[in-house]
Amino acid sequence: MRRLFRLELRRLLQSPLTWLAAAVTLVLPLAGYSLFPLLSWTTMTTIYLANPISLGTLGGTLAFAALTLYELSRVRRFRMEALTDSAVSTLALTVLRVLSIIACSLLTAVLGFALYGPYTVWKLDLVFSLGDYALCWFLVLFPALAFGGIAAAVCDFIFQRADVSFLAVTVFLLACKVGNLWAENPWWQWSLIKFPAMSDDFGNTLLFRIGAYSRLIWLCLFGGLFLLAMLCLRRYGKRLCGSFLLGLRRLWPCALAAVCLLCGGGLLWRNQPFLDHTPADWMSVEEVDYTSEVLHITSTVITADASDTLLGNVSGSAVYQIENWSGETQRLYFEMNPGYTIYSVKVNGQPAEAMDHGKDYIAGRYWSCELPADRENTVELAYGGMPQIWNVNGGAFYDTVVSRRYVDLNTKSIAPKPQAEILSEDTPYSLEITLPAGMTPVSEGTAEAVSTTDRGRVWSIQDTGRSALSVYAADFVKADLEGGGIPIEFYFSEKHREQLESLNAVSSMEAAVAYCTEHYGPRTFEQGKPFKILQLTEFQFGGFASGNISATMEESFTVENLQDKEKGASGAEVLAHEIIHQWWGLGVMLTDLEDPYWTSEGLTTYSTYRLMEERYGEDYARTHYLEPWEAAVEDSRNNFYVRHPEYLDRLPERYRGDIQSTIQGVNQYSGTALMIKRAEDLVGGREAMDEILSRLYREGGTELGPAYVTLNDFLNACGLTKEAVGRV
Amino acid sequence: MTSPQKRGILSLQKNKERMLMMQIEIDHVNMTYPNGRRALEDVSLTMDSPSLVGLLGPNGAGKSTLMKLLVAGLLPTGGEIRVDGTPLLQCERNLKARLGYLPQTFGLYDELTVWQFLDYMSALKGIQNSREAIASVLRATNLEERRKVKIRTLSGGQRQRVGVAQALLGTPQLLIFDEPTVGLDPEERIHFRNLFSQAAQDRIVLLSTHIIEDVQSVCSRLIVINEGRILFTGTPSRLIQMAQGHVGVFEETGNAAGEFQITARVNTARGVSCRAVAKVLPSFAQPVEPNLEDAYLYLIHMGPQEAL
Repeated sequence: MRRLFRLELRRLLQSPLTWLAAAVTLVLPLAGYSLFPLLSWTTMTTIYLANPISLGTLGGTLAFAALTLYELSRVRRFRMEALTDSAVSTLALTVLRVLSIIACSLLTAVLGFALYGPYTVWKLDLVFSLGDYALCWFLVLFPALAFGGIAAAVCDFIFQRADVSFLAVTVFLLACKVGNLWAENPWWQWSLIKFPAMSDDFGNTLLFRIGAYSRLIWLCLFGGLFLLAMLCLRRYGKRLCGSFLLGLRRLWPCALAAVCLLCGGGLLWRNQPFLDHTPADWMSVEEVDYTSEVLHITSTVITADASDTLLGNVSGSAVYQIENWSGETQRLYFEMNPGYTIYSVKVNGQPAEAMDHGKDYIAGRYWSCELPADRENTVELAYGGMPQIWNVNGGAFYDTVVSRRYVDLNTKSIAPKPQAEILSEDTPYSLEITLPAGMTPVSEGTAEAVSTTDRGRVWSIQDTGRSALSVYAADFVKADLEGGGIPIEFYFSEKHREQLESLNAVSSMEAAVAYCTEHYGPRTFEQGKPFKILQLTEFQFGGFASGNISATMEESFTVENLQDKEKGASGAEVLAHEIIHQWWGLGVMLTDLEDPYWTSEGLTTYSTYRLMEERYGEDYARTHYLEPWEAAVEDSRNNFYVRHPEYLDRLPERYRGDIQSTIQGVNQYSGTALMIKRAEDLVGGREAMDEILSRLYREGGTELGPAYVTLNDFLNACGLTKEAVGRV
Repeated sequence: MTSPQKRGILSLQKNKERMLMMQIEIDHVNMTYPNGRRALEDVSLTMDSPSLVGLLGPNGAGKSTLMKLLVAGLLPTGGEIRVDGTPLLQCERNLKARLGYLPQTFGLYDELTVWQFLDYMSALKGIQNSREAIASVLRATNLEERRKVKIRTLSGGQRQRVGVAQALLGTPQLLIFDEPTVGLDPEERIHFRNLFSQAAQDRIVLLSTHIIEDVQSVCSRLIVINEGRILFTGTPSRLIQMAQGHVGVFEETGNAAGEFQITARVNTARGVSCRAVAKVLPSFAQPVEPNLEDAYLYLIHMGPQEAL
C-alpha cells in the first residue's frame, strides 16, 4: 500500500494538472492583497495575511476539487478499469488516489508557506506572528483544499460523472455559504472558516480555536460521507444501489464508522462550546431586570484564574456580602457568561442550590439562589468554564478570550455578577486574578502585581462602588499623558513602543488631550479616577467608552493608518486624530440619517487641523490640511463618475463600490472638515466655533438624543443652513 | 551434499511447486445481468495448472462473462467459484496478486510511454524487481524498440501487444486472455500462440477466442460454450473425434438439399466444393476427416445432445 501511495503521489507530482491546481491556489492570494480583498477591516494582518489566504482558500478548494475529479475519472476516461481492477482493488486504489491528492494539497500549503513567508514578514514587520502565519496556511488553507478533494471524491463515488460532481461540489460550497449567512452560524463554512478580521497585536487565538473546531466538525462529517460514498463505488459490474448494498454487507465496519463519524460531527456541531445561544430575534426579546431593590452588596471578593491559555478556561470563586433589607427570603440573581457553570453555592456557610435559568442573552445567562431573611449574608460561589461569545453575526465578535497573548474578560466573564444594588460608592470590590506571565492588566480599578506562581502572575485589582469590572490584559505598555488637568493613562501593545517613541507620539497625543479638554471639556465620566485609553483588539469592531476606560482599535496603529494623509500630516498627527476621536466619536457620536457624509471623521479632522494650527502655525495648517482638503474635494468634484453618475451604474458592482468608497472617504473627511471650516468663518471665527462645539460635546444633540449630534444639530447650533455652508 | 541439505532443497522445491500449483473450480455458476439477460447457466468446470485452456464460442456465448467472473470483475448470481478451494470473494486479493488479465476491450493511459505504463502496472501489481520484469515482457511481446514511445502513437496491434505485455508482467500463475490476437498480423498471432504455449508450461492459461487456429495447435484442453452453457470440455482430439463421420464434402449443385450445415465453400476447377457438417451426412456428400473447426461448428450447430 505504501508503495502504491508513493507511486500515485509521484504520478500526481509529474502531472501538469496537479501543478495547475497548486498554481491557482498560490497565485490567487496575490489578487487578495488589493484586487479582491474579501475582508474590509484594515489591520495589517487582515490585509497581508487574512485577505490573500481567504482568496487562495476559496480558489484552492475548487481547484483541488477539479483535480480530484480529473484524477478519479481518469481510469474511466481511458477505459482502464478492467486492467487496474485485475491488479488491485478499485476501492484501495481510489482511496490511495484521494490520499495522494490530500498529500499534494499539503505540499501546496507548504509551498505557499515558504513562498509568501518573506513578503509577509517584510510587510507585517513588527506585527508578524509566525504562529498565526503557520495556522493560516495549515489550519485555514490546507484543510479546505483537502475537504475540496474529499467532497469531490464523495460526489464522484456517487455520480461517477466528473461534470455532475463538480457542479455538485460548487453548489454544496455555495449552499453552505448561504447557510452560513442565513443561519448566522460559522459551522456551515467548510471551505473558508469564519474570518471577520485578524488582529495585529493581540493574537487570533479564538479565531483559530473556532477554526480548529470547525475543521474537526467537517473532518468528521466529510470522513463519514467519504466512507459512506466509498460503499457506492461501482464494483463487480453492479450499479449504484447494488454496489451500495454489497458494500454494506462486505464493508459493514466502514458503514458503522461512517455513521459514528457523522453522528460525532453532528454532536460537535450541536454542542459547540464557543457561541452562546442568544435567540436570533434578540432585539425583540424583552429583557427582565432581575436587580433587587432590597438586596445590597456591601463587599465583593473574587479570586479568578485566567491562566489556562490552552483551552481558555476560567475558574474562580466569589464571596459577596449581601444585606437583605426586606426581612424575608429573597432570590438573588447572578448574570454570568453562558459558558460558565456554578459548581457550588454556600449561603452563610450552608450549601445552597444554584438554579440555571437557561436562557442566553448577549453572552450572558442568569443563575439564582435563595437568600435567607437574615440582614447580613455571605454568598460564596465556585464557578468556571470556557467563556462564550455572543452568537450574533455567526460569532464574529471574538472579544472574550483567554489566550497566551490577550485576555479580555468583561464584567459577566470575570465572575457571576449579582443583580443587587451597590450599597455605596465606597463599597469595596477586590479581584485577585492569575494571568499569563508577561501580561499587564487594565481595568476600571487599580491593578498591582502581588505574586508569581507556576501558572502565571497574580494581580490584585481594587476598586470601589461596583459589583463587577472588566479586565483587559496583554503586553501593554503604559504612557502617562499630561494634559487637560486629569491623569490619563494610555496603554498600547509593546510592539508599538519603538514606533510611538520615534513618532514622539506621546507629546502629540498629550497636545490633543490638552487641546480637546481646553476647548471642548474634560473627557471622563468617573471623578477621581484616571482616564484610561487602551489600544484593544480589532475584534471589538469599533471603539467603546465605559466608565473611566475608553478603547481605541488597533488599526489606528497600523503603518497604513499612520500614513493616512486625510487624518493627519504625519504618524504622530494621525495618533492625535485618533485621540480626538475620544471626544468626537466616543464622547458624542456624529451621525445623520439623511447625510451619509456627516460622521465623526469630519469634525475629528477639523479638530486635528485646529490643533496643528495652534501647535505649528497657520502656514503649516494651511499647507498640510486646508490645501490638501481643497485639492481632494476638487479632485472628487472633477471625477468623471461624480459628474456623470449615470455611468457609475454601468460599472461592475466591485468597481462601483471602490469608486463610491473613495468619494465617500473624501466627503466624510476633507469635505465635511471644509464645511465646518466654512461654518467657522460664518459664525465669527475660531472662538465662536469652539464655543459651539464645546456646547455640543457637553450637551449632545436633540434630534436623535444627547449621545448623538446630527448635521441639523450642528447647523442649528451654528444658526446656519445647509445652503450657507455649501452642503446641498 | 549431505542428506539434510538434500532434504532441505527437496522441501523448498516442493513448497515452490505447491505455490505454483493452482486450481480453479467453477461450481454451478449462473450469471444474469441486471437487465435480465442470462449470460451463463449452470456452468461447472475445473482448471488445474499447468494447462492451456482454449475457450471457444460464438459472439455473445458468455466467454467474456465467464472471464470477468474469474477475475472478480463480476459476481455470479448463483453458484460459486473457488481458487485452491477458497471461495473467490474471500481470496480476491490473493487471486489478483497471481493474475494476469487481458480483457477483450481495454484502454491504456495514452499520455504515458510504453515503459511508464508497464512500470505503473507493475507497481499496481506489487512487482518488486520491476525493471527486469518489464524488460522481459517487452522482449516477449516485441516491444523493446517502442518502449519510449507514447502509447497514443501506437497502432492497434501494438496497443494489443502492450495489453498482453501488462498481463504477462510478474509471471502470474493465472493468465486470462480474452481475444488476445484481435488486430494482430498473422506473424504476430503465431508468435503469441507460441508465447501462450510456453507460458502454460507451469501455470493456467485461459485463452478465449473465436478463431479456431489460435487454439488448435496449442491448447491442451478446450471448452466450448454457447448461449451461456458449456457444450464441451475436453481435449481437441476428443472434440474432433465427436465429429467423426459427420463431416463431408460435395459439389454444389442446384438440387443439393438436406439437413446439413455448410461450413466452407471453396472454388475449384470443377465448380464450388462445399464442406458441411450434419448429424447424418446426405448421400451425395463424401465423408472426410474432420478438423477442429469442423468439430466446433458441428457442436455449435447440432448442440451437445445431438452431437453425441
